[in-house]
Amino acid sequence: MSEHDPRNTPRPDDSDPTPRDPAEIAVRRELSRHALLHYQRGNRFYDSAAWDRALHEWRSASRMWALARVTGRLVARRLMHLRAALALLLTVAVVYAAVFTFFPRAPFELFLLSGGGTFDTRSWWERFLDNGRPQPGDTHKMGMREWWEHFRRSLEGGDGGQVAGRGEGRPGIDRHWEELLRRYGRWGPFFNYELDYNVIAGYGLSRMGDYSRAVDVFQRGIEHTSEPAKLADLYQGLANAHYYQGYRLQPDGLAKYDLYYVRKSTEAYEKSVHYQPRPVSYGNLGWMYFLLGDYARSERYSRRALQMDASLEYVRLNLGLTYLMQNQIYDAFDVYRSVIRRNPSSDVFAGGINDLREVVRDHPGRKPYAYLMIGMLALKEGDYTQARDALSRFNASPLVSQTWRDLARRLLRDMDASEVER
Amino acid sequence: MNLELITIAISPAVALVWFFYARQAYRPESKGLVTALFLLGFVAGMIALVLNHLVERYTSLWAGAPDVSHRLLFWVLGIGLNEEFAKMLMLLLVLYPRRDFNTPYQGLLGGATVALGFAAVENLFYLERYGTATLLFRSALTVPAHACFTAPLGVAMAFSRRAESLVGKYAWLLVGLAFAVVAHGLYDIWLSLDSVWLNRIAYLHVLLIGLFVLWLMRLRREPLPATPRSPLP
Repeated sequence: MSEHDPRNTPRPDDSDPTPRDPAEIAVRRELSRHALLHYQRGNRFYDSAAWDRALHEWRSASRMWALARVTGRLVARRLMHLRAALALLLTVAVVYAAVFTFFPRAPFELFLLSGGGTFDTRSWWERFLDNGRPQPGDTHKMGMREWWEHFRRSLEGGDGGQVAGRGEGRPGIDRHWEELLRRYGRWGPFFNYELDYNVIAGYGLSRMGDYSRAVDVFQRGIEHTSEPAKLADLYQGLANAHYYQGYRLQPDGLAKYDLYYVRKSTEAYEKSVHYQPRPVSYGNLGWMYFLLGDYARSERYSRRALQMDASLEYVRLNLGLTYLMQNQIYDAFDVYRSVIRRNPSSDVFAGGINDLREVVRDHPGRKPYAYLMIGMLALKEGDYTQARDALSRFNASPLVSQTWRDLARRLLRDMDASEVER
Repeated sequence: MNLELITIAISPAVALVWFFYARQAYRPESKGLVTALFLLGFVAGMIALVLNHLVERYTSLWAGAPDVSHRLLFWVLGIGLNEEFAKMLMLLLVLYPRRDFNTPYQGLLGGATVALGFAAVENLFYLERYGTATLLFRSALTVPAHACFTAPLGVAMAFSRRAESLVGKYAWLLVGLAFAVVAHGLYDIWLSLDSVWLNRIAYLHVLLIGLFVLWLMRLRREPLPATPRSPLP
């Protein structure tokens, strides 16, 4: 072989530094194998004096070595991008795993969130999005005028655009008074040019606690009005006034009711819904029939109120009570659980607990499941003392089934674990 | 929701996309890609919605948590991470693997576009939930804020594309995401505080990051990289 034999020239990739990336090495190795075949074939042609064909094969080998170097690098770079992206995704997954591991939600809250109540009429998506937390806002849409008021208040640094929670509370006079003032009174022209002094005066007197005079004013208004909407307002006011005439608050914070006034209130509510069916009136009617012991009607009216306005949590609690009184424990539990999941305001829970305590007071030893519901509501409110007391009383009762007893024990265990974590 | 309101909700985001698109120095990105990234911002919005709810539902981190540290962590690791990760996911899927993605301005434009698509769909949600009042505030502050948080992430992705080693590529991606998450989380923290003056720091926060993004926009003058565009020598 002569000194100028082309086989003695260095191969094209000899001067190239050895790649470190395994993917690049693999691609290079494959292309280099083909290049070597061309190179060896060229050598054989050279030995058999087929110069042109030998030159052609060597050129092919040379091109292939160059290609191996560049392509290998490009493929490796693309794989490197993929691996970098996957590494980042893995990092984020680790962060999420840490968040979900080190900041777990309280077991009791998760228990309440799990499973759908049969009473829950929301769609799957709405249930999925229900995170069991109070939401800052409601479905109320603002019109232009209201929008401007909101905007002005925000600029003045007033409420900062915060919207009230979704809790309703028991339909107290104050709330209704404000609503009627808005509709008929000082703020009336803003929304409604009509003005009914009987409605305003009646609610004003009720607010001051002068229920007898309020009843007179409402009745006078009823005599002088023929408009159904106003009659509905007047009858509703009359019913409220009668209800509070018979309402006796006890030193222990619970109430007793004079059923004479409850009946009069019921009649007035019946007339109010006759003139204008309103969810609040139906809800209150359900409560009146509950107090009168007519649980079938109470259930029917409460259901109707909830069909019209599903946000009336106090009506939902009344429905739970009605089920409890009819010994439909599963239904009652379902309703209470759905209220807890919907996260109304603390006032609603306090009202619900007081109603249950009244049931326990009026039916001593006969309604042990009321203790379970008190325990659940108190636990949700973070009142562990009351919850532990109620659940212990529930467990001590001989009238409860083992399934429910197990649930109460689980709640007590969760509570203990939660306190240890604190 | 009528068409006029939808238009009002989306138009600030579209205007800002045009602002970023019109400032490309050379070789403009295809309009199809920009439109696709904007629409993928909608998808990112949906993903973030689900992630936010999962965090609120299954962890103790939420906006009203009794523990202040949990509340602060919620804004950063809950909202900030969820939203920025959702946007980054879209960029990783569409922009990052592209062979012609190699200049920082491409990353800036891509990041801002996905973020603005995200802000547009978020605007629609807020419009549905809180009415028209929020649109004014969101158009002035939140929509540009989203773009400012994610544009640097896009730039970091471009630098990641250029990095030679795997560690370098990963580090750039991580730095970009961390910047976006912290910037977004801090912004939410300012807005969540119960003080009008502290709330106003959010404006300053967005302004500062906006200036940083404007500085990053100077990178559009950078020449094309020396790496060959064709595999053959």
